[in-house]
Amino acid sequence: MTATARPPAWRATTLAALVSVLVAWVLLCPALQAQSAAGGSYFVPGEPKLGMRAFFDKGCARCHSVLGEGGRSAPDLARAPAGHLSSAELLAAMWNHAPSMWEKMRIESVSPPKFTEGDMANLFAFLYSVRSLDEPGDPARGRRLLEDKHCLQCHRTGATGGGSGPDLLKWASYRNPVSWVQAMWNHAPAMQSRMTARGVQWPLFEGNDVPDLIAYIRLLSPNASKPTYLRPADPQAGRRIFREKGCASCHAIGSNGGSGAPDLRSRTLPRTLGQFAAAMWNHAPGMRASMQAQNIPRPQFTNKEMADLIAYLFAERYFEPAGNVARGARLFDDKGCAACHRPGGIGPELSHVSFSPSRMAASLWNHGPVMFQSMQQQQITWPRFQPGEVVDLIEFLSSRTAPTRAKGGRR
Amino acid sequence: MTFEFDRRSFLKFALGGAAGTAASGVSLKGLSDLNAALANEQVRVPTGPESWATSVCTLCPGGCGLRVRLIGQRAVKIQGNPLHPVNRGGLCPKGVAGLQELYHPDRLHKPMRNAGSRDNPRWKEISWEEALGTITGRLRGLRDGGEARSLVVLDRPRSGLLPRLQRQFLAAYGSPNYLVMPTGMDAVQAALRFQQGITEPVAYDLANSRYVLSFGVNLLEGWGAPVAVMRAFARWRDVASGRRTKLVQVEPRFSITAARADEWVALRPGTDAALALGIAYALISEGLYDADFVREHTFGFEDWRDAEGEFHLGFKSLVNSEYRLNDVSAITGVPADTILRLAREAAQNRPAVALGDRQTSSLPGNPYAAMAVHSLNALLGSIDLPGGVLVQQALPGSNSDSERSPGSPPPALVLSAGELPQAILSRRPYGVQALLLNQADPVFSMVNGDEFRRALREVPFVVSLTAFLDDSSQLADLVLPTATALESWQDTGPPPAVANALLAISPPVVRARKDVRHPGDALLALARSLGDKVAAALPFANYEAYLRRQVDGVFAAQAGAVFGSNLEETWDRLMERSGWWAPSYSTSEQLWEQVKQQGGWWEPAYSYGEWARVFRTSSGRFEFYSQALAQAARQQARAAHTGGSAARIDDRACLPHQTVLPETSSNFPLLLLVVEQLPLSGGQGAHLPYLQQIAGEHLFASWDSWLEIHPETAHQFGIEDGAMVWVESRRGRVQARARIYEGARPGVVHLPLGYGRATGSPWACRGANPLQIVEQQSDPVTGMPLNSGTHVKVYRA
Amino acid sequence: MPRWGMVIDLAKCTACQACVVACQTENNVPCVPPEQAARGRIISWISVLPQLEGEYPRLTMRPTPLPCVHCDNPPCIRVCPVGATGINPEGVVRQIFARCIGCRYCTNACPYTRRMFNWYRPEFPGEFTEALNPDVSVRPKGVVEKCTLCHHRLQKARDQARAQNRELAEGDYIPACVEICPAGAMYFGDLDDPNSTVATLARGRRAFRLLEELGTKPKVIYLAQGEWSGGDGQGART
Repeated sequence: MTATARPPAWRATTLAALVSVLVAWVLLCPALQAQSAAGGSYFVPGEPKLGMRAFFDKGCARCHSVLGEGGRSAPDLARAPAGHLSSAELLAAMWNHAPSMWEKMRIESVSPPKFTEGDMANLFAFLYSVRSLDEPGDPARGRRLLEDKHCLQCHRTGATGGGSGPDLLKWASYRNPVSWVQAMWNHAPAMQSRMTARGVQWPLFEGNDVPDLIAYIRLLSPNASKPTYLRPADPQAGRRIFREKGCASCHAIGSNGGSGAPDLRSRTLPRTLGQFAAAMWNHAPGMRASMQAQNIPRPQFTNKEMADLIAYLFAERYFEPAGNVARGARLFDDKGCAACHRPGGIGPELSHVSFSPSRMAASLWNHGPVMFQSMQQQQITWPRFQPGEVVDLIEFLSSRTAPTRAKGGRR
Repeated sequence: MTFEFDRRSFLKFALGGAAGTAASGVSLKGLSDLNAALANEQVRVPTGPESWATSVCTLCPGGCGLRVRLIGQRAVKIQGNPLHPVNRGGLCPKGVAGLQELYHPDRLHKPMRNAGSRDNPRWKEISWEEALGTITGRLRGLRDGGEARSLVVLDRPRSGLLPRLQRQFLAAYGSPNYLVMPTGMDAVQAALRFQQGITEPVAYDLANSRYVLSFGVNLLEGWGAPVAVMRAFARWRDVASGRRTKLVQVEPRFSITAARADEWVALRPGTDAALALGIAYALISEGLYDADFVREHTFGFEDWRDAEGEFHLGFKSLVNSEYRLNDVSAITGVPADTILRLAREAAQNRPAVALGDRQTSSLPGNPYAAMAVHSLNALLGSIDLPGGVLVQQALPGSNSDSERSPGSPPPALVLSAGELPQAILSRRPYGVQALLLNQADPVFSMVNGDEFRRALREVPFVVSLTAFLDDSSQLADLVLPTATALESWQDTGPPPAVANALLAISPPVVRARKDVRHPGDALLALARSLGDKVAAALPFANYEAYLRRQVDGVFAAQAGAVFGSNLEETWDRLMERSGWWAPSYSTSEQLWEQVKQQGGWWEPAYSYGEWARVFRTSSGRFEFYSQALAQAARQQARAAHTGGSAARIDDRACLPHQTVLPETSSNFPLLLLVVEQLPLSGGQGAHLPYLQQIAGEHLFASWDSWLEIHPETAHQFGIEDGAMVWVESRRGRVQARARIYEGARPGVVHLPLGYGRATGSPWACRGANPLQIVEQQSDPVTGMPLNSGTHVKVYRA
Repeated sequence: MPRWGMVIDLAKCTACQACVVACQTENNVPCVPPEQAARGRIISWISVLPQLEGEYPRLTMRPTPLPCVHCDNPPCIRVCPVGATGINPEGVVRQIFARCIGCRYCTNACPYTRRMFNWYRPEFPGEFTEALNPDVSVRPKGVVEKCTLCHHRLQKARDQARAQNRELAEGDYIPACVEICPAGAMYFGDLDDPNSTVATLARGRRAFRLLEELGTKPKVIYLAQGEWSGGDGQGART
């Protein structure tokens, strides 16, 4: 257990939510059924499917869509913002847009919905998991990519292409980009030597490249209708893999782990599971060189292992590293919160509540419209959060609760 | 003291304030008591604890999911299953009325054998053992005598696993003759065979279409999966979804679908092909068609030369020369600017889909018209994308090897059910020794029902599986009563026009009320007693076991989902689209239990753009110019010219075209088009009083056939509203009550389908069966039926 | 206290008549023999009125499902001599079958012709009595009957909510016709709850009531079917 940084207080309360949230694409039967899903033990607070129900029942889908399902007048929350959002950043995005949402609702005579904390935790689980899904690919792009990335110099696709690599149609039934990257990763060293021999540049995959390739290959295969999907992944297993395969020797997650390799919780890493896996591929030559230099054996992955690992890393990304209480206190003043939220002020004192992003989001909807109205009357601007500020604020607010609160960490 | 007197006398007493009433006087409570005493009817109402069960409706091929309310052991209400993805809790009136079938007074009680003759049947109730024993004996005899191939099974159209069981039975027994009654989708299926090279059922993603051109398809009156279509219709009109989808109904008559459509285009009967090709002309000449799709995925759009260098006409040239707007307007009676406007609207509101053509559920339309209509889908680029024409996905685990006889099976007797009577009567290519009718009534339901009547008399051994005695089973030797939907295991596959692989299974909801069986159970019992290869091919104790085994195949596919809520459907689909699958089951046993509980399993995601699956023509593309048709035409030309070399064929026979319509004669000046109403769709339902009451609502008609006739036409022929008339064609005549209807085209009259049985429930034996007088042409090239109406005369009875 | 009302969206109605049969099976409405049907005596608490107008080929039909519209100012209750019909505090125009003496004044008074009389003894041939709903009475000959908004379902829903220690929620109580509609064209709920679906729809610009000029204040509100506006001409593929 490293002790260099203590995880924020609110993490302890949402630990259970974390594990299940991330088994995010675990789709249990609805609460009506008591059966558990395939293998593993999944526990259920913060369930993505319930969050999806909230998304539709509370009326979010009237304006917003997710991956095309829902309303058209507001952004598709699975696609926008384009980058990765942790739960804290989800809250910040929601917070920043709240006034414009409420204004629109007022014009349409729709009353803003109310949320329990459970509702909001579910909603967050849903948004987080649906944002990590890859879009189906465009086969026309995929065909161009196969040529542009020079895959066909070695690989065959049925009748066309080179002969030294396997026929890509073998993987035509694999629908998940993570599966493809796993297969490619395992063969990367062999591919790398062949490519250097032929003077072919290491192909980099960005955006929706891998799903595009998959979509194209799938159409060529006569057996395309028998798909192979990936099953829900197990982040606990993924955590083990992260340690056992040696990833932790170089990669840090937040401030835990090795240095010399990118922090896998960096906000700049891509949003979807497939893109994240593809990033691994993109760095494969660099990683190979580093591993050889440090005498670390290059890990191989099964389909399931790769999925579990990526799921674990995404689980980690749901949370932010601990905030800074002092910074938070300053923000509380600078943003104007302290003007009302103080003893004797018009707003509640906020000192006996322990916060988490989902709890704050629930309060945002439950109390926010009244708060906003009050602020408008007093000509106070609605505060907006920059990336990173929310965590500090929450850390500060949580620190003001009863001092005997346990601050247990995850490790 | 009580005495009998009626309410009128009581009123006199009460108002007069007279004394002497038996009960307590004129207080309100007194009134209630008195009324209760007067109402001496004792109606026994079922009591018991309430429970709910899942089932599937079998009154049409739609197969909607049901939730059945039970009081004790009795079913008292049928509602929709909200988890079933096809109907999502909605039902059409047939589904609701299905309860009357369970308790029907005219149901068969036990197996019966005909102790009289075919002309004078005398029915004697027997046991199932005796019935099955008789059948086994006959079939064994046939097989031992080397005549296994002469067993023919005629099934009604159905999805699910029962067709597969029958084919497996026949394959193991040694007969290739599994036939299905015709359906109204046959013409469109033929078009798909010719233009796309596929035999899978066609499907339409109507819910996502933005513009729907329907050529005579009775979308709201029982076509396809009726409730699924109605849900799509509701989505088209849902203000919250943004844009409204336009429905254009093209047909001569003002049907309910035409009434509910955004636009009704009243064209001359039988000219659908011309109109479709006129719209094609407009799309091409205005450059509004999807050039990319046409270039990449079609064949025969431009003129072309074959391997021998021979020139062949292409679709574009055909349309540009023969289907110009004014020509089409003259043929169809539709103004040229309407045709142009429809083309522009379709092109501007994509995805746009064209459906048709069609007559009724048992009268397919014209395959060349269907090809013309489907060509519009190719021009608009609406094939295999959301909102367009799809191809039904196969159920996983379906292995069709077991449905074919080992080695080289004998050739099939006929290719379609319509040809069966001629084959029987002529004994060519071989005679039929045994005929099994599986819930099929060809004497009533087919145009050549009279031929079937004659043919059935010539078949030595006829067995009919049916819940009610009907026109065909009257001519059987054995009648085996089948269970109604709620009394037995039900299974359905995807309904017509739905693309997703689907298997709905539900256990019996109530105990069978009579000595009845599911046809699958009967066949499995037969297989057991036949022994040998047949028993080995079907080693299942009962139909439940058969269904259970098929679910293993579904489990092995490791895809799809058990029926769940709308939200779960959306979730499952999003996940599969992105490559993930998170099922609610981990073993086949769990899947089976969940399927029984929630209604079934299905594949919520459709894989778009799998061109290798969607186009299986020789060119691998959509063929405006059908090479399959060219081959058929060449064969037919060769057969016509004895000993000739490859005869020249007319290119137009291989392209969509307007067929020549039979001419009217002065003797038969009117045109009869049979129409289908939702409550009696498929010609089924006349035995249910709730449905009889609502069929004909647009005319406030019920219980009897009517003849719809335009007021001017009626006046011309001296017919008054409500008069009984004869409707006579060259084939014969039937009687109906004339009803003036503004929605009938002048010169065109309509009789509804579903009435006029000769045998069965008395409720269904009212009115007239229009199929008895319908004339059907036959296409010389393909032998397919061409239906464009029947010429009749109408006169007072 | 809720005020129960219904909204029927004529844009979505497919004129299938599932509502008609669902009501009949739910409420033990008997079928009448063909001879009676020919005299116009079919009993259906909700019917779809065809409303055909015009001449070939310029025709319109506006199929309109019409149940009892449960007027807030019902003409029928004023003419009943025995108080067999009245309006309850929740706005349901109720019928006490046991009190009805069959004078049919109410039937004549109803401008919507939504009341039906049992001219003959109701028959349930075969075993149709097995399908009767025990929650609804079976009316004898000589009694007027009409739509009750499936009031028995309200009582049941209230009992269930009470047993679960909660309030009645929207969707707990829904008449059989609204429940079965395959097009989802019917809505039901509390008109006095401004956030309910029916109240929101009733405020919309497509909303209208039938025979409003008579002052009956019907609580079944229709949404006009509207027109296709010509699309947006974008021609884009989804």
